Amino acid sequence: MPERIRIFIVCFMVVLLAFFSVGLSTSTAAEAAAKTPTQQLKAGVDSLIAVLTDQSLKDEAGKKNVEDKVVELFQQHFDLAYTSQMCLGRHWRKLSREERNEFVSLFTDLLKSTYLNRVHEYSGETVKYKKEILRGKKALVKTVVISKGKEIPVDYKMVNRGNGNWQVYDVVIEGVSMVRNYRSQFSSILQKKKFADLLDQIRDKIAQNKAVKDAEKEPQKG
Amino acid sequence: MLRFVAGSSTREKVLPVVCFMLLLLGIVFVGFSVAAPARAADQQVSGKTADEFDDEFADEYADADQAIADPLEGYNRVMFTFNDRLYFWVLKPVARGYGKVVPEPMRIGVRNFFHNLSAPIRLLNCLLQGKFAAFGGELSRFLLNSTVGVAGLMDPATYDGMKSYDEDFSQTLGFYGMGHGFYLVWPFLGPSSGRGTVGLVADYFTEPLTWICWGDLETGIAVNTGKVVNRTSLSIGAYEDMIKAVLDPYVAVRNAYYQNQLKKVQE
Repeated sequence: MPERIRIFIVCFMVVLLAFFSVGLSTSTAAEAAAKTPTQQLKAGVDSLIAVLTDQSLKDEAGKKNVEDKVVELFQQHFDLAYTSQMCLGRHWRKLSREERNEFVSLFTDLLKSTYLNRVHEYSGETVKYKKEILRGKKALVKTVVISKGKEIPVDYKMVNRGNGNWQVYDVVIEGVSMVRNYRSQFSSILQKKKFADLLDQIRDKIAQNKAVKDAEKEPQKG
Repeated sequence: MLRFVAGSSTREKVLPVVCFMLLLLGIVFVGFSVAAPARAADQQVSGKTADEFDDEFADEYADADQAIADPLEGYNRVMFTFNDRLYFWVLKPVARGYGKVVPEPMRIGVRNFFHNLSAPIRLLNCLLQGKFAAFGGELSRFLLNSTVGVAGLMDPATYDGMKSYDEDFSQTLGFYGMGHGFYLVWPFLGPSSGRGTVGLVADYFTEPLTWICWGDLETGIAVNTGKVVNRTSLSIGAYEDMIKAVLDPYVAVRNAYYQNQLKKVQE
C-alpha cells in the first residue's frame, strides 16, 4: 500500500492501544485527585500492558475475561459522550436527550466491534511520555508508541471531570485526530441525509463487523 | 542491476534532472508567496485563549469542517476502490505469504534498509527549509546506521534516541506557503494532491533507488514491489481495522491525509 495510506493504517492500529489503555486506569477518583493527566494515563497504559501480558488469561475463557475487563473500564474512564459531542459538532445541539444517548451507545458499540478482538494481538509495544500541556479543564499529553522498531507519535486530549479525574476524549495519531476524522465523515453524511439515517448506517456497520468476526471464527473451530 | 557503478551513462542523465529540480525550486520561490504561510491554527493548543479552553462548550473543533478541495471526487473514488481491491486481492495475500517465509526481525531490517537509503530525500528537504539542526540529525543517523547499522539494516540511531526527520518535497512546498491544490488519488500510490504530486516527482528523482535502478525498468519495478510487499507484511490487519471503524472509508482516508499533511508542514 502507498506510504500515506500506510501512515493512516498504523494510526488506526494504535487507536486500539490508545483507547483501551486509558479505560484501564483502576485508580479511584480520590486517588486520582493527586495525579496529573500524564500520571493517570501512564497508570492506565501500565495496567493495560499487565492485563494483555497476563499468561493466566491466554486460554479461551481468559480472552473473554480480558475483553470484559477492558470494556468495563473503558466505559468507566473514557468520556465517549464528550467525544460524540465533538464528533457531531453543531448537529449535537439539535438532538434530544434520547437521541444523544442512542448515538453515544451506538458509537461505543462501533468502536468495540472494531477494536475489541484486536486486544489479543499485543506484541510488546511500549509508550514514552514526552510532554504535558495544561489549559484549565483540558490537557494534552504527548506520547510516542514504539511498535516493531517504529516510533509513532500519539497525543491524548483529556478533560478534567472533577476531583482531578482526567478522561480522554480524543486521540491524535501522527497528527490525525480521531474526532476530526469522524467529524468529517459525519458531516459529509449529514449533508445529504437525516440523523436517523446516520444511526442506521452505524447499525449496519456494527452488524457487518460482527458478520466478519463470526466468519473469521468458523475455520478455527473446524 | 547496479548500473550506477557504470558511471558515465548515469552522470549524463543527472544533468537534466538537476535542471528539473532547479526549475521546481524556481516555481517554489517565485510562484508562491513566501510571506505568511497559511498554517492551520487549529492544531496549536497553545494558540487558544484560556477562556476558550475553560469553556467546555466552546468548540475547539469549530474549524474541523475545513477540508481539502476535491473537484475530482468521482475519479478519486474510482481510484480509491481500485487501490482497495489491489490491497485485498493482490498485495495482502502476497505480503502474507512473504511474511510466513521471512521472519519478522529480517523484514524490519529490510524496511530499515530502504528507509536509510532514502536519507537524501530527507537531507535535501531539511536544507531547502533551512532546518539545519534536523539536517545534522538526519546526517548523523545516516552515517551511524550506514556503518554501525550494517548498511542501514539495523537502526542503532533510533536506539540512541536520535529522531528521524520525515521531510519531503511536498512539505518543502507547503513550508513556503503553497496550498494543497486539490485532492488526487493515484492508482498504486494512493492519496495525494496537486502539491503532493509535484513532491512525488521531485522525491522520485532524489531517491537513490531511482538512480541505482536507472535504465533498468524491470529491476526498478521488482525492487520497489519488494519494498512495498515487505512494508505491507509488517502491518497486515491495520487497514482492515480502519475500514471496520469508519462509515465512509473514502472520506476518512481523505481527511487523514489532509490532517497528516497539515501536521507535517507545521513541524
